[in-house]
Amino acid sequence: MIGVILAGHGIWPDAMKKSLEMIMGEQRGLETCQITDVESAEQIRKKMDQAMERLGECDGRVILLDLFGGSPSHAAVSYGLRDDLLAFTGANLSMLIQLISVRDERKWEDLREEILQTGKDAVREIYGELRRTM
Amino acid sequence: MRIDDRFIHGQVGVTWISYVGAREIVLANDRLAADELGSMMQKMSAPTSKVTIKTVDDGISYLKKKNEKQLESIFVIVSCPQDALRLLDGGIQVNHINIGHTAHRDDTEEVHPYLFLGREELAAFQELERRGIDLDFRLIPSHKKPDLKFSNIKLKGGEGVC
Repeated sequence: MIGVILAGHGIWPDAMKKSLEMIMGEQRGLETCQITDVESAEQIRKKMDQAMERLGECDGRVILLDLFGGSPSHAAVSYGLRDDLLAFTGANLSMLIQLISVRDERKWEDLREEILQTGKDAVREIYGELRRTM
Repeated sequence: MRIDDRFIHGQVGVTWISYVGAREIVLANDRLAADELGSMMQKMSAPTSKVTIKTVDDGISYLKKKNEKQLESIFVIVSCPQDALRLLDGGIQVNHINIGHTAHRDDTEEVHPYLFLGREELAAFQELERRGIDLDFRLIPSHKKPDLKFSNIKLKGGEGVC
């Protein structure tokens, strides 16, 4: 199985998980890592390690992060460049839904492009789109 | 100058860099300077600024080569007050230090909301204060600057490590 970790500032990770569960029901292989104002880089890394451990045995792990350049993204980089890890920043609910839906069917090599594209496609401005189609 | 043990991260990347209008950010930290991937990620986190990463000693020589005008547009970030003192002792002139993120650890005490200090850190802050440096504890620019006197702070226990 492909394990998923939501990591970010404040309650974003748990809130994302709750939103997903509202749409898709409870999920296994999905952990969260929430960071607060008072944690050091090392403590954030430790929290991420713990989330990894809670996932248990996985064929690969995907970290979904809220903000590029935020502390959780620096923690993800501290694992080095590994073949069994993916880390997406600017993650949105569409990416999470897609990831959970296809993770057991897709080849690991194809997952990166597909989830990136899902995330990009999800960002739209609907009023402008509607005006243009009217 | 800013003290922040996370260097360029959410709060710094989004708010401080644009607030101070820095053209160049110098991260002076021995551990980060030796971490190639971590350094690359720090640089990518501030795409509109030039980011230079040096050990504290190399940072001193690097900053010493800059003239006054260049120094005005440089934002230096160190991880702890002890490293800030090392820069000062190395001959770098600083009037104002923004204290950003200090981490809560077992050996630290919260002396003010979100300000966590161990013994060594407090001693370094007291020395910086004694030298007349304006110590400004704010996580983000829109916070109000608190009225803090480090010389009045006493810790119950704990050792600060950098």
